[in-house]
Amino acid sequence: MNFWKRRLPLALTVIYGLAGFAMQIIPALNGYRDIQNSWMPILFGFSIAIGVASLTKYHFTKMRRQPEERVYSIITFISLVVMAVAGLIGMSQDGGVFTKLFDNLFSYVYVPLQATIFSLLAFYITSAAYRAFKVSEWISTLLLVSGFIVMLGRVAFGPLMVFGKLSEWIMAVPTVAAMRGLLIGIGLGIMATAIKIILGIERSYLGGE
Amino acid sequence: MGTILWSTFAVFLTLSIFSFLIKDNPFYKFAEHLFAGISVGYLVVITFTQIFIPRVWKPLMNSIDTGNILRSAFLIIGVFIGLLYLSRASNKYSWLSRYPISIVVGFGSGFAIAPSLNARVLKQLHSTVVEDGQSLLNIQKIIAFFRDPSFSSLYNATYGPLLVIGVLVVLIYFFFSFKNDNPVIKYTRTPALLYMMVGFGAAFGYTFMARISLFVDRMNFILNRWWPLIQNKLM
Repeated sequence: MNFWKRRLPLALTVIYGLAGFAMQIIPALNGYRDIQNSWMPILFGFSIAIGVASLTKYHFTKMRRQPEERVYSIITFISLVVMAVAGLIGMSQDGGVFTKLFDNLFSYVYVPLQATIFSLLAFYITSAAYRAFKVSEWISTLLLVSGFIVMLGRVAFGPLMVFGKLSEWIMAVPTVAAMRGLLIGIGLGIMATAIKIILGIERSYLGGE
Repeated sequence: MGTILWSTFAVFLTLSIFSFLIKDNPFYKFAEHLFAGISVGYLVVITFTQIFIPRVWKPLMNSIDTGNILRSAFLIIGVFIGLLYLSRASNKYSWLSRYPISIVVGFGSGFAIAPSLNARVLKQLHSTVVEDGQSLLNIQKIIAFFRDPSFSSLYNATYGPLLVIGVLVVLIYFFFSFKNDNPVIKYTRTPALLYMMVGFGAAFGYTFMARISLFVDRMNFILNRWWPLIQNKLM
């Protein structure tokens, strides 16, 4: 049983890892790359199905265990079903009631909520910046000063234009240098992790047991 | 009338989310859970319309029509392997989901090595040495600054050296093969931190301004789009 549960999945990882690598570096395999790439969206689609099933299961469990929070789980569940049904039925009937419902839900619910939740973070990162400033290490103050200059630089006018120039310099020199250093590190890290996965050293994605 | 109702609902949701700044409350929870449901519902629709129909259903039907048995078998096997994900619902057979995970992780890893090496390492290193066909450590630019000192020539003279030094010290900062008392590691630590803090600060400033522009957009919606609609309706 160990063969089916662990060894075969591990062997598949090695085979597909080597195949993926070969398809990238051998131009003659480009045709196979397109065929193989057609599997990835299929698998991605099913992973979304698992996500939906998991969310539904979580909310059903929550409804049972926390009766006072039940109403919110019902809201999540109903909104999921209404949005999905409106979208799926709406796509087959252009201009129908479901299409309008889907468009309205997208424009007046999804977009405003997404934008508002993201804009809410502005207040929280301000508070985080203030706390970083309170640490009173000169290096954390530097972070805040640099951030402040870039913020002013984005909206600079009149005498504040000096911040615009300063902001351009910060973005072009120290930021590029720091991000490039990090990016090279990240690139090497991705390669090392990928090699570890292909060689079967890294197996955490298989879970326990 | 429909637009007014939907717009008013959008305003209500916007204010409900902002009410969290005071404290957690039922309006915020309502908007938060609604967002979770709507987002997942939207994802389902997108997955179905952008992935399943054009990438699975249509190619499968095409290959069946054209008699391309190999291609249709390949797609059907892909769907079958994808279905194994659903075994996670069972405690006894959840190990079957390891097959699609292994394929995705394995193929993704192998496929990522060459682009990662190219885009994140080689291209970045190349840009650190040469830019626009010229070396970044160009002594001519430094000489030009001493001949004609100005802000512009100072920028040109220091741009390359500061960039190269920055990349090197940041790379050394994350090099953990030597102990901290190694002089190279020790003396590049503070400059690396300096570069990174300025970089993170700039990223912070940029993110903050992006968030603020979203906030401005929400206020713009309430004051310049929704409020005139209500005024027109009332008058």
